[in-house]
Amino acid sequence: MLELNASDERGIDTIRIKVKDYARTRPMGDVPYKIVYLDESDALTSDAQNALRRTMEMYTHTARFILACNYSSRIIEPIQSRCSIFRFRRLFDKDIAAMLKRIARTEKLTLEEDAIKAIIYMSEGDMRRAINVLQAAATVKRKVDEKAVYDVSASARPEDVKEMLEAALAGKFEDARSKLIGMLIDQGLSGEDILQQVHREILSLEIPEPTKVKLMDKVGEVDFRLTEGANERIQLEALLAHFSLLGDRLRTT
Amino acid sequence: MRMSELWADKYRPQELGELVGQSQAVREIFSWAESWRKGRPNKPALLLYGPVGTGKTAAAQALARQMGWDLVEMNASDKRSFDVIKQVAGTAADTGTLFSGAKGKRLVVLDEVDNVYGVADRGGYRAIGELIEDPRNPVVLIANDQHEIPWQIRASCLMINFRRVQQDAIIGALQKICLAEKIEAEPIALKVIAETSNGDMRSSINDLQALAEGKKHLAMKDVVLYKRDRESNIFDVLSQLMRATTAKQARELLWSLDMPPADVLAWIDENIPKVLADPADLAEAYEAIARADIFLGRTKRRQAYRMWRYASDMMTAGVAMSRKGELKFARFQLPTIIMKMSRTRAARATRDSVAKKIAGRCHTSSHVVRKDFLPYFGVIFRRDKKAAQQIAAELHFSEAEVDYLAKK
Repeated sequence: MLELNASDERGIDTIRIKVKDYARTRPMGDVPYKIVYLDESDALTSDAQNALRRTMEMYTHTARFILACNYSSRIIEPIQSRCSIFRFRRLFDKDIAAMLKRIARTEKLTLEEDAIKAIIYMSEGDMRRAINVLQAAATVKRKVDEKAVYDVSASARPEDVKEMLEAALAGKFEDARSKLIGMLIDQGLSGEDILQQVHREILSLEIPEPTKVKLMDKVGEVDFRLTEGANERIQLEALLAHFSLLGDRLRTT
Repeated sequence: MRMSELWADKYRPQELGELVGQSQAVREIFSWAESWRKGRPNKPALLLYGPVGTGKTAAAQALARQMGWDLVEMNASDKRSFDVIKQVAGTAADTGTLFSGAKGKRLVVLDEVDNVYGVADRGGYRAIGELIEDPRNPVVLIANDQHEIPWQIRASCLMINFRRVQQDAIIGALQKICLAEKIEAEPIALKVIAETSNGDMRSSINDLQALAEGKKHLAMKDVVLYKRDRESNIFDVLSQLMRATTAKQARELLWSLDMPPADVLAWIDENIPKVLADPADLAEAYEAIARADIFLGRTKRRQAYRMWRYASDMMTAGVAMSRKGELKFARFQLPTIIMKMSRTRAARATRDSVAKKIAGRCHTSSHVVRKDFLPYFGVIFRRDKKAAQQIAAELHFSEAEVDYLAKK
């Protein structure tokens, strides 16, 4: 099997030489086909995709192609025509729950309902992340409860984040700030992780919809400053102050 | 266990007559091939063009087999610079064959000629042009988009159009395959497969194989097909976006859309002014679009993919929540910027090559030439034919470049 992903050199010459040479030679041993797996194939330039299209069908007696991508609309039509298409959807919560329970059964773990909910919350549809969190929590204790999950993960409890935001909106800036510092210092969470949760919680706050948009924009701005190397404590405090200001405006109007 | 072949290969037409739904094209190809028997036709090269999966390459291969011609094929998976084309195809086109001696013919097939690349395949079109000018052997060029091919080449080819295959013809072909594979298929199942393929014979065979291989019976309920999609549901997303009442609703619309954020933004940008009636709404929506654009820029510049999320927020929730007033009824349309860019691609390429030639001669940059020189050159080329001729000869302007300046 030949695997190429976006970090490999995949210009038109690679497709013409490396992939073609691999595809056209006979497989060794008792296997019927070679497999060429092109990960993130929507990142191939359209020139490279065009160089690939005939190779895909000229060497079908020696090789099969599997292309994976985020956006099938970025794959040129001639290649789509040569493929069977399978679309992978975002996983539902119940799918992740079922998988977690199955693992718990085979690994003989006690897995509490609260813990499942917590894992689903922090995995955001990412099965790999969900399984990793479960494994980490299970190495600490065979009985996995909500607390164990939050202890091993880089997430704050959603209720904590929500309380912090509501305090800020209610004008209790210092309360909000001490909750923030608790997460940053005591729990050792990163500013980025907290921001990501703030972003999620905004949607379920009880404030007017246009205000939510303004807050999300502000979160994005703060997040950008963090990527630029700004101090996460100061930036998050500034964000909370902004929440307080908007809360104040909502009360007076 | 012996693994199966691809059905698209297994049932590839062996003779031109087996080609599905292209009777007109097949007749023209035949009469062109017949005239090669008598000597050399007026137009020694064929250009087969049309959408994917309609049988162009299969036709060329079937033709060689039926006429008893050897086949030499080059496609985009080969390097196709001037030298390579001259060497491979030129030799093939000018000499007799190994087995039949000087009397035998070879069919030279250049597949995917709309994809000869500027840098990697330098001089490729020039070589093709020289090749088809006076060959001793028949030449077939194949392309999806005939407009991408220089007109000088098109002019010396007999152009044959392959159309999207009619649904009934596809259904008939699928039925034949089912019969050969001993699969009983519900007619409605085959109809759905044919419909989904949108006239692409090959993809319908691929879909049939993915769904039915190894089965004895193919029922409608087994048919789960994913469209080889284009911008089909962006229209739905746009119209739902304008009616979304919560930020959450608006954000989640993007999940069902198979399109990168930058493309979605182009669609929103194009269509927002068509539906927002109130100038205040429009200004606010554009502020959100502009913020989305800033976040996209940050994503790209810093390779910080976290920023994508905020770009999506602003282009969906941001735009949706800007609206307070009425909506106008409007038909959404493809971003004009995309159409304009592709329509003017050739003109821009000509402009750049003109600028480069002048820049080299005048010891300045192409940028300065485009800004400060080209308008004067335009005046000269329109008004003073004699001076224009001298300049064109001096700087080796091509016909297209002279045209470009004269119309400027």
